[in-house]
Amino acid sequence: MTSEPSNPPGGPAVWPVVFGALAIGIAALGFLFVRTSRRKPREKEPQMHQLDIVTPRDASIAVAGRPVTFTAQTQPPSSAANVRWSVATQPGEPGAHGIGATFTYTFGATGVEQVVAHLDDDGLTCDVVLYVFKTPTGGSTLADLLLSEPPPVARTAESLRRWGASASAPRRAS
Amino acid sequence: MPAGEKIAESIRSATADAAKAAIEGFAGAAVLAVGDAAIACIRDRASMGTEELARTIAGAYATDVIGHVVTEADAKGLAIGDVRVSTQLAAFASGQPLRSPIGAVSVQHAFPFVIGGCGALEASGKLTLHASCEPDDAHHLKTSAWGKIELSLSWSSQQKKAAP
Repeated sequence: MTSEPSNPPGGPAVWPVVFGALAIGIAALGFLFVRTSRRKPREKEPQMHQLDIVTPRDASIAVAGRPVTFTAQTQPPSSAANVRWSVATQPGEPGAHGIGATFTYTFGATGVEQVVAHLDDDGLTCDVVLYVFKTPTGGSTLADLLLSEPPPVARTAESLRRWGASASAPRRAS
Repeated sequence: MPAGEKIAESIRSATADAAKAAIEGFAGAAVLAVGDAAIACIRDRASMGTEELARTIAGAYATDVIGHVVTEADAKGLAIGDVRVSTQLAAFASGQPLRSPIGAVSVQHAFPFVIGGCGALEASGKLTLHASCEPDDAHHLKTSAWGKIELSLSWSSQQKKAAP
């Protein structure tokens, strides 16, 4: 009586397939590991710092004798406290400089005036130009403007060095 | 000083004169065609229009201009409702020898009217009034105005439907 040799469960033909699949899986994992480990660490994108003069708008009308409040916005917002303001067209006047997110100044006469904001740590500078009119009563209606005094100093906006109402730059390395 | 009521009175007077001149001229030429009743109807419209223009311009002079952008105003003119204001704000503030930063302030309104009809004939028209103010060398406001009357006569062969 002859007996057939018994095959292990699954049959002898299955084992090469199983080993082959395992080998491919291990190779794929190895490839992925090598690729991932070789990849350079992602560089941090430089953070942009920004300075904007949000009010008043550039080339706005203002009236002499009435305080004008200038407002800056910064990115990051914490820099707003460091904004340095100056009335570039009134350099020697008292109150022509200030620090902070807002700055208030009262112009005294008709003229073209420029206010500049600096964020020194980031090297950012912005400016706005205002057209100031000295009216007889300090009013700001069309009828008041009609009787404005002429300016004591002739100066055009084109004669001023301009920066624009918005500036941004990557943060400087500390 | 151009106080609101003074401006309104000045415009009222100039526009009334212009409207009167237009109506007199029109009446002289057209009274035979449209009749005295029609001229009276136009006179009523002119009176109402004159008051409206005076109020409109006086209101524009009382408008606060803080916040307007000078470059836009000088390029396109200030628009206060339908009042147009020509300005030379930048030039004045820069020291150019100008009378005022504000130039002509003008408004134009059209007032349609219906004279009436006679059978299939219908008469209607439009009165256009224009008023303008501008400072003179003495800083007084010089006002000017004109009026135009357009008449339309129509006749239709279509019968009107009777009112229910």
